[in-house]
Amino acid sequence: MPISIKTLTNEELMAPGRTGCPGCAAMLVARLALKVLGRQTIMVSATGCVISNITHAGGPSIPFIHSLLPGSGSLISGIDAGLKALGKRNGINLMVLAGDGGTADIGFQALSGAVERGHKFLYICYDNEGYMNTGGQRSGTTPYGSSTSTTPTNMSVGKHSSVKNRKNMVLIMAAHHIPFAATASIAYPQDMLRKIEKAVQIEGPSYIHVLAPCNYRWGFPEDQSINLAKLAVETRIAPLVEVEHGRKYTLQMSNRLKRPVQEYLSTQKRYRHLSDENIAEIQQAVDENWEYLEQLANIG
Amino acid sequence: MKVENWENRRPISPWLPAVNDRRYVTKNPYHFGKPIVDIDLCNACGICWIGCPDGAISKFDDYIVIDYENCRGCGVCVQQCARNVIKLVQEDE
Repeated sequence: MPISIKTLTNEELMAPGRTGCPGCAAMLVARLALKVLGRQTIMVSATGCVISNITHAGGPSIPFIHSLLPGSGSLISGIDAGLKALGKRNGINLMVLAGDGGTADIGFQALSGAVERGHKFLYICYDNEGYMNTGGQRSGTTPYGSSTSTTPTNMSVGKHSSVKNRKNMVLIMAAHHIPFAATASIAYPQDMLRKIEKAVQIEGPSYIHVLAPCNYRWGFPEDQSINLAKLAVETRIAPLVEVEHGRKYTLQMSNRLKRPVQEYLSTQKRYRHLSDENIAEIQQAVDENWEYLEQLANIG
Repeated sequence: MKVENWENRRPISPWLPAVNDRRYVTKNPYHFGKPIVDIDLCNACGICWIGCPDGAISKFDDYIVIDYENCRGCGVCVQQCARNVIKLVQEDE
């Protein structure tokens, strides 16, 4: 029976009483993932917003390890191999929850090695597009034009920009030919729960990339987290893609009407320095990315 | 004091308060407002429950319960509610 919002229980494995910012989308990702995975889960989390959310009080009610920032992939493969050696692997879900810094930049080689060796685990990346926990520095998934503390206003656009193309982590993971790689959105919880359930049932590594809007560093009201994630999907900035075995691409929501990126950019303070030319550049890049994904989906 | 279901709420210790627990914290700097549900109009669809980052909402068959001890007052539930029956009330300091 496929999982549905109506069949989920009230049990909060990510216990209430956290210490992070109000409206944190990363904790929402953790909550929904643990609601699907259940009690028989070992969770590893690299240093990031989730750790600062659960440091002083609250925290998961399941076995939980705070891994080093570059080592979450290695740690989860060690747990997988150890459980196999003890003969206790069946019925236990392994999950890594890491931010975009712990996934795309610092933890990248450990993740790449772990999925290449084919360990069975679920890797969830909550992407808040920067090192939002440590002061809002630029990361490998920071989009073009976004003002961060290390690429302030005029450094983020034009010829001085060090940011050109963000890492597309789902396509990188799909290039490892892992059984399941996908993007999900907190604005579409039914779709996200289905993907998490599908990912844990697959034999082998699986990767889910979730856009987690950060109200504090992006500069929008804290009650708009989910609305902004929805807008990111509708403007095609964060398209919902599903890749199976690195070959079969599925592009979701492709029949929906496209909204201009201006609507998404104008809601956030980090984009307020952009001129009309910069917005046109971003619109063009988003359209090109969408065409590329459409071509991949037509092949598969 | 017997604390029911404590391991779900305080995994470290049953006697350790959560940081924003109102029984122990008199003035919470992170607190923006208090969501109030109109029970008569709420049909317990669960949209606020699934979108709450704090896990402060419990959903039952025909009503929801908000745990004000752990709510941070972000207002995501107010934005998500399809029937507009949750209101964010500002509390006086």
